[in-house]
Amino acid sequence: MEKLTKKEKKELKKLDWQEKLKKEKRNQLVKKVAIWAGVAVVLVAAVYGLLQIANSPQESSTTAKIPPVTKTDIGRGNPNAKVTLVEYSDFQCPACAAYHPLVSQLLAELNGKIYFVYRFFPLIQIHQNAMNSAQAAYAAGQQGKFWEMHDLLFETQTSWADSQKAREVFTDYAKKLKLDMDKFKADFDSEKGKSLINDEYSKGLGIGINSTPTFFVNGEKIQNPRTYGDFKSLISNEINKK
Amino acid sequence: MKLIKNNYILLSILLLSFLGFLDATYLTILHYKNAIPPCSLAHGCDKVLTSSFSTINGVPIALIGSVFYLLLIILLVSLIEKVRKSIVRAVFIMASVGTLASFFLIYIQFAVIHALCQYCLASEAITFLIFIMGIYLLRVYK
Repeated sequence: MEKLTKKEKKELKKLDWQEKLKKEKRNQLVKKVAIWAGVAVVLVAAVYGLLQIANSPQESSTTAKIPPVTKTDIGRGNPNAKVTLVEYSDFQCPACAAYHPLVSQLLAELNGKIYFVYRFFPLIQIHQNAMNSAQAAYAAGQQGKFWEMHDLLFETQTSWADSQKAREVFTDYAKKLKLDMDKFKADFDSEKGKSLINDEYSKGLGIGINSTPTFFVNGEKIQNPRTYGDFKSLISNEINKK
Repeated sequence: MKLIKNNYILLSILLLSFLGFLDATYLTILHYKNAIPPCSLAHGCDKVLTSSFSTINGVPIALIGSVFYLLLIILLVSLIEKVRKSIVRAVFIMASVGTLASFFLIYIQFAVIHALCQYCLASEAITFLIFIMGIYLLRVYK
């Protein structure tokens, strides 16, 4: 073995030391990259998981059976259709208003294949205009314009929901719909109307409805679909069932 | 080793931020899917989440929340890696602003909308907890 000079020894040591430093630096960098990559992976996985949850169709049905749909029910579409969709709804409920365009689109796209029934479920404890909006729709219904009033009420919900003078708003709507105003006022206040609304409400309570809107497809309660696509595929499945 | 000793505080805040991120992102996803969040009558979260207060100039508050928590997560991970005073301060300032915003949002739910949304309240509670822990963090790394 050759003898190293002092200078050479020093040089070697220095190289060694530099190597170590480099290694340590590299390790630190690897660790850094690993940490951030880990964080990124966890976050992406979380978002992916949430998307899955949000997309999962909630179709678990309960055993609650609703009072059968009869001729006295307020319906729209083809009464002999294979699928009957019943909605327990409150005109002042924001979620119901949010579902309104979805249901309208369903009825338009599945024209003739679906029958839609509206049942009153006014949440009078939390919505001050729940009852009188239901009465307004009922009164319009007595002149064959329930659905026109129904659409108007939902489309303009935010403008009257917190109003102290909602009744005046509804009267204006009745004028707009060219209703016989005397009859509208009489029907609005009629005991018959109020008792019909209350009757549907209490029957709804009886089958365990605790939120609006609650939908029933052919008598089976469904979990509210979260998107139009989910809603449509649910109904289409029912139509295609043998 | 100050860092190791106080790591659990950082990790707790990180965990809280992650929970907040999940919550806010879930609401953001639902918002952009035009989906109605699963709410029950007792809470009235549909009323809150579909109210005019749920967006600012078309940007959903839930999205702002997601970005807020994401930023916190990034700052906290960088702190766990290497403590820097300026970042500790930034975390604290963010938590303070977040808490103020949370109080405002709670006020709106109670006094203006008259309805409560459990997802929102959860996020507001998380931000408040982060703020409390942020005070501690600021003291430790002063």
